[in-house]
Amino acid sequence: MEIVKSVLLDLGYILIFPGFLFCFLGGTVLSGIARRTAAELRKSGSPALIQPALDFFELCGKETGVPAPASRILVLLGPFVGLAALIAIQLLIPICSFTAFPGIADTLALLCLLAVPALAEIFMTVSADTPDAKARLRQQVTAMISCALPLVLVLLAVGMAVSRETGSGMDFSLQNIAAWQEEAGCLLFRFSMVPAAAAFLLIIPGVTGMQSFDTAEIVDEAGNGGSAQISGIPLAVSSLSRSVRMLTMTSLFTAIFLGGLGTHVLIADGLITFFFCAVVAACAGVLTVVFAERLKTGKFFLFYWTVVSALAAISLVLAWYGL
Amino acid sequence: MSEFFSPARLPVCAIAVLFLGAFLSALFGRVKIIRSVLAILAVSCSFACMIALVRPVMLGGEVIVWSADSLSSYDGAALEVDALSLFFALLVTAAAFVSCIWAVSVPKQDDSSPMGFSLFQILTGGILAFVLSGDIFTMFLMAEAASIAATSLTAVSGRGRGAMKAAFRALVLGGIETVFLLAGAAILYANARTLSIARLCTVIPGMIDNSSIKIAFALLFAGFGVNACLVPFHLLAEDRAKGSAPAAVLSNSALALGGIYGIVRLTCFLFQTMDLSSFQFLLVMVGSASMLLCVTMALSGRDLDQILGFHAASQNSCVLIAFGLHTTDGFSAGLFHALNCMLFSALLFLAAGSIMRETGKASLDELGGLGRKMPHTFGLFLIGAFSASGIPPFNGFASGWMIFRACCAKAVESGRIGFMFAAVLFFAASVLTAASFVRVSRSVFFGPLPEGCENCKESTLGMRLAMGIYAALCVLAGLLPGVAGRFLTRPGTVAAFNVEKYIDSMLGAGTASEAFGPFVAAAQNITFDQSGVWSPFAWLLILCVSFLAVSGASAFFRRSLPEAPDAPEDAGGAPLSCGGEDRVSLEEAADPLIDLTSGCKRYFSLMERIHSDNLNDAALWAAAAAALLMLFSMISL
Repeated sequence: MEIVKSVLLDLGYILIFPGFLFCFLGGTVLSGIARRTAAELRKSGSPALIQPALDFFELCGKETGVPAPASRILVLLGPFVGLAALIAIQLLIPICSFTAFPGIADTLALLCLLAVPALAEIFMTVSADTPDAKARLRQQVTAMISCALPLVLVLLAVGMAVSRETGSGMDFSLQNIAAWQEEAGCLLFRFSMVPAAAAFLLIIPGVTGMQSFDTAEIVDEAGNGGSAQISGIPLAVSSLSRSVRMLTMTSLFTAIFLGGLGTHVLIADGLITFFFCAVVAACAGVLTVVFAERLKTGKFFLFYWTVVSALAAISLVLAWYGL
Repeated sequence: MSEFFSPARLPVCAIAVLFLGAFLSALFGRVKIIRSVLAILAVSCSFACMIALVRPVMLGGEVIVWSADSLSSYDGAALEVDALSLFFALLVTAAAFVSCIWAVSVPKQDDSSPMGFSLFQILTGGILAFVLSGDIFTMFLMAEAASIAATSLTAVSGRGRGAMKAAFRALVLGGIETVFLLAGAAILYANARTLSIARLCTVIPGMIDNSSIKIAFALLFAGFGVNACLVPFHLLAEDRAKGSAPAAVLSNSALALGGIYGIVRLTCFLFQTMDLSSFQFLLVMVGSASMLLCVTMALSGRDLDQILGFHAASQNSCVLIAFGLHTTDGFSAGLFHALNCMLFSALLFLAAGSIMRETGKASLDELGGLGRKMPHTFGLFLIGAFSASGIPPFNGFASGWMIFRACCAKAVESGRIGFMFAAVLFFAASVLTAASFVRVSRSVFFGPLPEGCENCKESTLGMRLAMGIYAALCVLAGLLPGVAGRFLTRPGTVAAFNVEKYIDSMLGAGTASEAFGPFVAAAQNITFDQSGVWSPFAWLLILCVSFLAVSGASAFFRRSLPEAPDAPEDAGGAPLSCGGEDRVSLEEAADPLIDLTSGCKRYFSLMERIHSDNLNDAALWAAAAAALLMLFSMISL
């Protein structure tokens, strides 16, 4: 009986909270918040908060289309693997003091797990092999490379700050980082962690694909432009993945910088975390317009590997010296 | 009879059977079936001999010594098998065995095949004897045998002028290696009057102030560095990759790892300098520089074999970083990464070999669309690529994660932030590797089929079996890292941290305490950090349930929603063009790394300038490296 109860509880985590249903609702709303904030700043038409969810349902209703040269298996499988990987990651991130599946992966493992949805999307794009897909592939690969270095520096800075305080070795466990913040206060309010938090906020538009950086226009001499595109369910799931990535990144930010503000009541903790995620998503929307959107593709990579990485590295050095 | 097959004779049997096989292949190798049977018999016997040693050496902790009686007066000419050398010997023989299955399954073999099989066995035997050798002169001889066999395999690969040019450069670099190793061994003999590694271990620490001993260290380090394709000898990785696929597996993975094994014997055993932070710094710095340089060379590479050669060298350099930490966790992680490097590099080389054999092309510009023609090879290549890129839950991730943690732990323990930046560089190299494989996969397996590739067929069953074995091992090693740890990497680590036991086994009990004074057996104090959190099975289970949930929900929406009238529009995706003024052609846009290469234009053009084909430059770099190493050892030792 205990085993059945435990299995049902785990299934509930995966299917409802903080798994699939929460990812769908939370991801689309947070993505909507970020897009609306960016649109408000651009003074262009503001989309509805639930616009990503509406887009998803609309795309689901379309006929599934795969361009002729594309690999059907990769196009159909890629988005599903990507979204499933994101949900699996979300289940490992603490919500205040609660973690659905603790002890499966630490922050380093989580960092590498983030590559799974990115690569799933990249291989879907690669297999489409249309001119549009080529341009998108460049964006995706550039974003993947650009964000990895600052992200690892941020996580190292956080691990170092916690280990300096506890006097133990480097601690990469998200649960321990959250538990420590519960006792010692949020990392965001520490002087040394402010540059790392800023770097993380700048990373979010890159990882979530919000940055509409200035891709060079492709000249297709053959004139067979991007008419043949992926459509229907794969595209819907792919767009949902981008929304869920917003939830993943904002909740990771909340866990490592704003952990320990919970009440030990799951529903209340969920609401508090979601509120912080919404604030972070709005900040990401602002940063998209202020920084990321102004960058040309070549500069995008350099910006992340120099400015953003330097911010994270400053935090790492400050944490190293216990400041 | 049972005495004949005693464990002490197995190492020499394993080596002898390979050289005998090479001789017989040269004699009777004109008939395909005979050379295939001879090669398979030789490598499988050799592999079986090494497996038979696992129980006494890995689990029992024994050190097996074999010495030719007639040569014992020379105080050398011995083979020794401790857990460290057996670990590398198992890698070499396993790689040779599986690659041999691939080689004998190749359908249309060319005229050079009999010679190729013979050289392949000499190469395997040479590397095996190198790692099992108990004296520095046999190490030198066998390194030479292996190096010449690898060069010859490149020359007879039947790939025209490019291969001959690569073979010539490899020959020159091999000559430089010969000079370094021979000079180093000669200086050691002149000072210590012995070439036995065990005896040198007892003598050298007392002679460390001698300048010529310091020069010997620099020369031997540079010699093994050439074998390991470390910077500035990394172009050798490109040259060795021009050989046939099984030859590339052995020379780019096994022989290069043999070079790293030589460096470990040199620093941890002969000179016992790894307690000095300056030598830890040397290994980590050389490893990091080689790793980054090789991965960026792979990013700008245009040929499939060249790119894979650089990736193999880059990953092997990561092993050196882990060894340079000189912690039990770092060393164990390094050994695990060496195992994984062997697996995924071999898989990638064999998959690339299948493609190049079928199409007759190696340039990424001339390949494309092969995913449809060779779907199994494509799938197996992807497993190798994901493993090399450190994507969970494959083996490259498991060992990479361990190295990263070991670097951070070392940084905290030693109070040196540099180790942490080595970890960051290691992670950056993994991301660049992933990006490089996206580009390779796109160029080779997607897009339209180029002319001349219309009739390409899937690899034969035997070739796929060989690649499948490597792929299965890549997955298994990723899912069950503890098994490799228990049976292979931990015994190897204990052996590496227990010089005294090695000396006592070779020279008799009590020799080490006579030389160094009373000591506490290091092996008894060795502990391994268990604090890391990564549970691949649990994560995979969650992923599978999530996948089912996503698929089920999508099917539900698909059925219950009415069909929308308009053409689809990409929702949420970034716009493809924001009115930028730049315009690029489709060909340029096809390179997914163009933004990276244009962003770092200066770096890549500098790399192009300093990597000329001029052999004088290679010799100059070698001389400069040796001079720097001499200067370093003069200051630090």
